[in-house]
Amino acid sequence: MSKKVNIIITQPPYGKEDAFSAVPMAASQVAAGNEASMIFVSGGVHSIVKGQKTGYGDIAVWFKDVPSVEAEITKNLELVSFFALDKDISKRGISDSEIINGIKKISLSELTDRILEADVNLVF
Amino acid sequence: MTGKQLTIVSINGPYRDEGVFTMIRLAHAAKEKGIDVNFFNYLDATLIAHKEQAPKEFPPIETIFGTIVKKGIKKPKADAIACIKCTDARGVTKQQTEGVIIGGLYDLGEWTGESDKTILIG
Repeated sequence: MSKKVNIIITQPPYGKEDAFSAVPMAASQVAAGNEASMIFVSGGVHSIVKGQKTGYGDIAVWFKDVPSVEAEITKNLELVSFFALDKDISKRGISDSEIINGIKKISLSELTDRILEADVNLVF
Repeated sequence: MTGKQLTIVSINGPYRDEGVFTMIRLAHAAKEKGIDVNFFNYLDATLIAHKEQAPKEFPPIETIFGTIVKKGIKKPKADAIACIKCTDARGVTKQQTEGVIIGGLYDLGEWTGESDKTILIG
């Protein structure tokens, strides 16, 4: 049976693996026939900022750059619905022009409704 | 038997915090109630079933986890999948305890669709 799945991200993009690894989890939910939304809250909203540059330096030393959460989100924009909590975005000084196109802002009230409507809520 | 199914997604490794112990206690309680349990071990949680753990101070997670999975051959069932990208990244693909299947996120999507409840313990 198809389920409505929310994946809620509370962790910032690069301090932990959580945000990066949650995106393919959402995409795989859709591939398996479920409906998936990703919602970025608290420190998680830093994942939705455009122009992320990763890597620690010389590729000869580091072999490869740390993967970009922005690229992972962009790749899955057509499969997964992406949202971020409006107050947490403004609290962290992120302007609308800095947000990756296709990510919608929602209020705490709307987030609450989404959680109540979903069959599954997974919080990273 | 209830015919109910619970999927538990874990993302933390053993010992650093109590999350994995809590997850196993919860799974054990669910099985006692006749509920089938699916374990999806993701990220550092793929270390839970890594073989030959020998903690000096704490209960051996792999042994406890492996026992639940082995007993899960009969109803209520307990199945376990470890994410292949995560096990490969950590070099533990070939060292998973008996009963753990190497799989992927698509399997979790299918389990989510089939299960009565899916939770994530981080």
